[in-house]
Amino acid sequence: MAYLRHLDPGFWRRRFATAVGVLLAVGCAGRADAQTARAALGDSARLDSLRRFYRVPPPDVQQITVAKFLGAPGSTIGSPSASGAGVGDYFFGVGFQERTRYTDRPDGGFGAGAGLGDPESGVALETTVTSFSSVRHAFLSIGGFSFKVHHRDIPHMMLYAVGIENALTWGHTDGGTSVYGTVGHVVPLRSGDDAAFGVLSTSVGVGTGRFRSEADIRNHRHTVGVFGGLGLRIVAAVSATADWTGQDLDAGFTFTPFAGRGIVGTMGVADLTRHAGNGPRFIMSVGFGFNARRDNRRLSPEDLSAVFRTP
Amino acid sequence: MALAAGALLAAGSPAGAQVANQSDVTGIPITSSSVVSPVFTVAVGGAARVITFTTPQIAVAYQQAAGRINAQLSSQTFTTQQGFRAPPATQNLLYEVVSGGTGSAAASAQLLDRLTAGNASPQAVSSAQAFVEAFRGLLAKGIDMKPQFFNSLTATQLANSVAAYNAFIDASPAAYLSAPPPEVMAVRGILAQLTAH
Repeated sequence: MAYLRHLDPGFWRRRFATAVGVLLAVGCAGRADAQTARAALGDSARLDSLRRFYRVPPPDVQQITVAKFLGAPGSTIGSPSASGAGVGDYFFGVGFQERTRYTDRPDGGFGAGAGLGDPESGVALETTVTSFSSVRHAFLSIGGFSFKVHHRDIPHMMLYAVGIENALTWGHTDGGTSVYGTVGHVVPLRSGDDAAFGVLSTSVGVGTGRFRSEADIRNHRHTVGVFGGLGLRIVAAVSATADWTGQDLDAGFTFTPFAGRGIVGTMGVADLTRHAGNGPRFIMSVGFGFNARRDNRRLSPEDLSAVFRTP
Repeated sequence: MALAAGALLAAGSPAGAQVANQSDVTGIPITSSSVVSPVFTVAVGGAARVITFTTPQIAVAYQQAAGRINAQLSSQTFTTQQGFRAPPATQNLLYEVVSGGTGSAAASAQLLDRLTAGNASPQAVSSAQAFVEAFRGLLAKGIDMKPQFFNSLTATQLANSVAAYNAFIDASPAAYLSAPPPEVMAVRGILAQLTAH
């Protein structure tokens, strides 16, 4: 039958006519669809264009976290903290002892430093220059450079630091060089803004030099000493600190009288347990730290009432 | 960090010559930032999330722009960056709204009517309502900013205004946007100048 159909001239005519008809129909329908699509596309593109024209770029605002309290209390008085200065951070401070060990003579010194690097995303280097001379000898006639490399692990509230104290010295310094490593941890004890007794800072470290016991130093034993401390925020502006320096216990209070202003005062007593030296001594310091890049704007009560509404 | 600590400890010399009574290192150490340790450490407690201008300089520029636009609307001399100057009645209406005075409530209702005339889809009306609410008193708030604060209320009000305005535009049909009321052109000009820093 198939063979016969191919021999039938009418069969091919009919097949050709059918094919042409289908093609024409498809062609017409395609043109109509394309026109409709082009028109729709044109409307859509025009609407998009109009909307792009009328839309306004978002304002240059951002959501930020503002800490109303400057920072966790320090956990050290006589030993180095695990925190440190990062890029843009600068500080200076003066220290005073009512009398030095085994003497009745007061003593003072001055230090200033700066940081490099971001301690939160990596590590930062803190460099400090210290003048151990103040009154009896000319300022900066006895001094040293100290370095600290440190890291802040904000999510876990951990602080890590290694440093070398008085790495380079000049003049007749009696402190010597000390190398140390220390780890700090901040523990929020209570929720609520600036809650009394709300934050505990802890730190523990090991070091050579002055972190060894007084007996080891006297006997020139090359040991490694352990130091560490606790700091408890009593109220927002006052913290209590107890610190084992590797030789004896220091304890006192740290004051941050102006929140966000970077002024820190410390008063305490050194050599409380008479493990070293010849009895307790009054010590104090005043320091100022700031970040030259830090946003100095403050929160007003009104700032806290703002609410962004997603359209 | 552990490696660095180890290297430093290994490299560390024995205690330097303790020639006297260690008076240089047995007070409060001034050989590191420990003297200001609460300053360079982790912040805990008392934190708030707020919207603010990205920098204090941007806040100042915004305040200046708000003052300038407010004065121009007040004198019916406001012109958009494209050179469009809305009719005095429109500028006066917008001035009443953005200055946030006693007449701002009635002016806001009038502005809402103008924006939604011929554009009454529920989404457009809802966005227009949110926009007018955020737009009311916007310039007055900007002029009153205090540079020492974060001015979150002002920054958030601006962000709300722009977001609601853009949502209104996105909900408007082509026919409306082809021939919008002069208020739309003027509002666009005001927001564009406030966000151009």
